[in-house]
Amino acid sequence: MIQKINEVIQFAYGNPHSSFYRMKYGQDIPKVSKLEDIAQIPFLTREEIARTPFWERVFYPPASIQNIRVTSGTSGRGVLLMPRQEPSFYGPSSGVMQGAGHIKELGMRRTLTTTGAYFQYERSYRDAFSIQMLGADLRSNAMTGRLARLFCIDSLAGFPYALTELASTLAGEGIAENITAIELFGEKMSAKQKRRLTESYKNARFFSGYASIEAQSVIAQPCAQSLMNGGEDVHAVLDYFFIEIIDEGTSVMNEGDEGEIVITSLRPLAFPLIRYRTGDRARVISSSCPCKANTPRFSILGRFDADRLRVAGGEINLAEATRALHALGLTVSSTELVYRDEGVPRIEWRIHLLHKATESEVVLAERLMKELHLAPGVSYESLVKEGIYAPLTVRFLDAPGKSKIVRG
Amino acid sequence: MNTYPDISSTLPALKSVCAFTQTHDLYGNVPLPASPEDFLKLPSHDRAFLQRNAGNISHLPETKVRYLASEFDPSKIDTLFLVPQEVDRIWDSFAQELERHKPKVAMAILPLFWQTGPMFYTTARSQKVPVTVLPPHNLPLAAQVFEEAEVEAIVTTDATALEFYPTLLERGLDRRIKFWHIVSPLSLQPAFQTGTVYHEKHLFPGVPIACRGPQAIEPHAYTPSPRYFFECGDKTRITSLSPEALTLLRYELPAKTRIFTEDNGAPLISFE
Repeated sequence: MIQKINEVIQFAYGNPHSSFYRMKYGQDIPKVSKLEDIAQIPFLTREEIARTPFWERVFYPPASIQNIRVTSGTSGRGVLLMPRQEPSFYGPSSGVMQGAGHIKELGMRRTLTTTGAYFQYERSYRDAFSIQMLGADLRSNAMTGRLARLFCIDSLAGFPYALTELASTLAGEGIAENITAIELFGEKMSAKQKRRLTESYKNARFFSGYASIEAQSVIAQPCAQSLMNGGEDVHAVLDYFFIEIIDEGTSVMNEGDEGEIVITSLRPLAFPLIRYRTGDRARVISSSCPCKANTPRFSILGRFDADRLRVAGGEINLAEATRALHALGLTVSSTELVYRDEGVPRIEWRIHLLHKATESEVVLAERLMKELHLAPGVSYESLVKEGIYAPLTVRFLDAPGKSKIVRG
Repeated sequence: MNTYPDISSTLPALKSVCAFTQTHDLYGNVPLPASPEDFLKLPSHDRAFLQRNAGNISHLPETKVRYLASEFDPSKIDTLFLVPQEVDRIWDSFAQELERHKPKVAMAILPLFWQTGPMFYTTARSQKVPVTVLPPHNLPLAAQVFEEAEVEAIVTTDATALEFYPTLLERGLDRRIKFWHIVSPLSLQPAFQTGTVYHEKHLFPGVPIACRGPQAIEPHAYTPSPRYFFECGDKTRITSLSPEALTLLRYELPAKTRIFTEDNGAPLISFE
């Protein structure tokens, strides 16, 4: 482990294609002699990455970059472009999961997935296990449902909100009950979302790994034991990352401790992450796992920043807000939703656009009311019609702020 | 009746394809043609036939095949069927364009239901060009990625190109584009024309059959794909010239065509 960390530091610091880490560390090349030394290395933040022009933070020549992915925007801090080199390391770990055994165990064979980069996901698994994928186009639900039926899907992979949206279409095609396995990624589900999903896909077993576009791969996965018990704990994939859980700047390791996940890549990625603050919260599980894999275990709690608020009719969710903005063709540098309850609750949506506004705040508010959902199938507009909410208002900000959801 | 390529010289390839079709379930027992006339007497096949039978591809291991949609219009689900395609299929025309123009990064903005991501990706990797794939419903995001990633080639539809170009123009990014690759169904006469544009006709989304380069003079005339044998008469039929996941055998195109030659003798096809 220590050797791998030092190799990645050397790769990053002495890299001929990018001076990112030389600029960051200056003359002080970090050296790790024992694991505790890693605490001396400065954290890496998303903002530092975003400030650096894309090709100045690519650690391979362009011809070795296979694709450029865009983060989903669920952090609420705008999107980030991340390079992925060839060969990529995405996919099941050889360490914890012994190939794609968990996929096989779950019965995933023909999968409908909501990610736009489904072909990469498919390539990763195809090598280890016979799995085929079809991209689910939520803009064309009827066609997606019919394709899914013709394709004889037995599993789904994707974001909870998207899979909930698809549920009625798949039920209409008479195939929702054929689905035996669902891999979830992206946002952390609320209890209500989880209940809706389990009701929609009655015969499916659910599991969530922990991955990110910045990391280019799976960071932690459930073990077979956890899958069997329906647990939410995941094992760190030690082949790929050194993982710390940090609270107030220091590493925590005791059962039940909570903190932010900080990762250090153990392979020379196109953008190597060294003590990267993911913005994700986790709770430490220190007890040994019945699966006997002696790797760090934790459960994911969601984003570190407040990114959702439970309110009447469901929840205000930053991921859903970002989706709604994207659906209307808007790109924002920050978005803030202020929830106020003065008898009748209402939301004020503050937006800093990356481009010139093409419509007034009032018109945009009307459109966003239709698009924003507080729960699957429950638009803000429908709650206004029922008299539960006052109409949504929009305010354009002159300067970007921090994306968040707040109770006003 | 005009054919491209010439039927006499193509007969061995056509025979070989007929022999291949005998090894799987799609077409049943096709007799081997001994002469051009024999080939032209073979039964032709239409869209309804494919809709009924396209799933019969037992000649290929499942893991060697992936699937495309048969419709360009997402509301047409009653006539929808899956179009099998080899997982390692290269997008020939796009590969040539990448080789010629050497863009730093290529971007695809196509509806996800087209399922063309894998072919786009595999082709770009074969030329060592990084790719990025964006959805057509968020063009401001695509513009941001275009700018930051220094994209120099775009694969998209005519409608998306017409909508996206003004944004690039406004930001002064249009001059960076080395080429556009515009994909259209046979029935559409594309309107987008700015700079270096390749127009390509697809039989199904992700199945190109003819392409038109930026130097083409004749309006609405395309160069037929070398993957197919074209028969143009009262109806237009195409036949795959080598075995494919979905091998087409005298498949009737849903469009009338005309084959003619340029001054330099190169064949051209126009779609009506």
